[in-house]
Amino acid sequence: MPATKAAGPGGWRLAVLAVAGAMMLVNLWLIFAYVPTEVSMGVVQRIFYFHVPTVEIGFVAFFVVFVASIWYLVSRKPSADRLAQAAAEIGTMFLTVAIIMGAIWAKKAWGTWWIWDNKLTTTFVLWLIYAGYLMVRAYAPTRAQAARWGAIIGIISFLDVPIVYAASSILHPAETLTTEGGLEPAMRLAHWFSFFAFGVLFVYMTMLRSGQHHDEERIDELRRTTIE
Amino acid sequence: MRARITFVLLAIAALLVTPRAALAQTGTGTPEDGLGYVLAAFGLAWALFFAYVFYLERKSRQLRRDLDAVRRDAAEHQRRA
Repeated sequence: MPATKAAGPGGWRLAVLAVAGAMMLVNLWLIFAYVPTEVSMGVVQRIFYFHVPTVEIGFVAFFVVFVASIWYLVSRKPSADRLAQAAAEIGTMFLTVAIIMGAIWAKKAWGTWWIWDNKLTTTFVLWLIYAGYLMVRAYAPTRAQAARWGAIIGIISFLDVPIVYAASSILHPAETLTTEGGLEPAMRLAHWFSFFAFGVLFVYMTMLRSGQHHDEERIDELRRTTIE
Repeated sequence: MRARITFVLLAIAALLVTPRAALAQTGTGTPEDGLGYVLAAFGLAWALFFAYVFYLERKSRQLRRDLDAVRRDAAEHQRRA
């Protein structure tokens, strides 16, 4: 009996996970031992080296959903739909982590867990939109309908990402990473390394989840064939 | 499995040790000056990611078993037909 290829214990998958794990350890060293402490905020500013990249990877994920949704509507390829669904799930996960980390940072910096300013409100709306996307898919009567509705919502939902970005530019996270007007090279390095480390983790999770959707489809298909 | 456990233990050790290194490195921070928030934020983020990866890996193994079982059933069904 052949083993499943997509979600099986493939060497590539463990290799990507190992790379992500190693990068995360280097990332921690960069954040806590390499980067200088920001002058005005102190040690709590280091939260931003996780918080900002997780938001950015969330945006990347939603861009993947957007592109894969268009690809699905044009080609009707199930693989495009699986990619969109997986990227939406992982993107929502990343955004959840980012919101939680941001709230913890805000408690120390602002004295409150949450304020309803432009950036936070639009980010929360973005989270709600993708949570809604996943719920619509989950409650669709058939896989075909879930894919079609998901593709349409996936395209429309992405419109909120530039809005969040524009709202963020009013109070840009880079402000909190800078000292005296410029981003220090060590801080820039830590930020981008963190971005790529989370990027590898995102690739691993998305491929794994997409493979699982493929396996679920195969199981349904085989069960249907057996019953018929 | 042993490699995974080692990886998790190493990650937890790094998580515990590195914030202290950060404080030792700079003169601006004290444990009262937000370290608890930093530990809470990183701890929660790591816990969520670990839990999610663990969940995905477990689900993959379960799906693989289900798929193999369904394939066996389908083959058996075909043989009988």
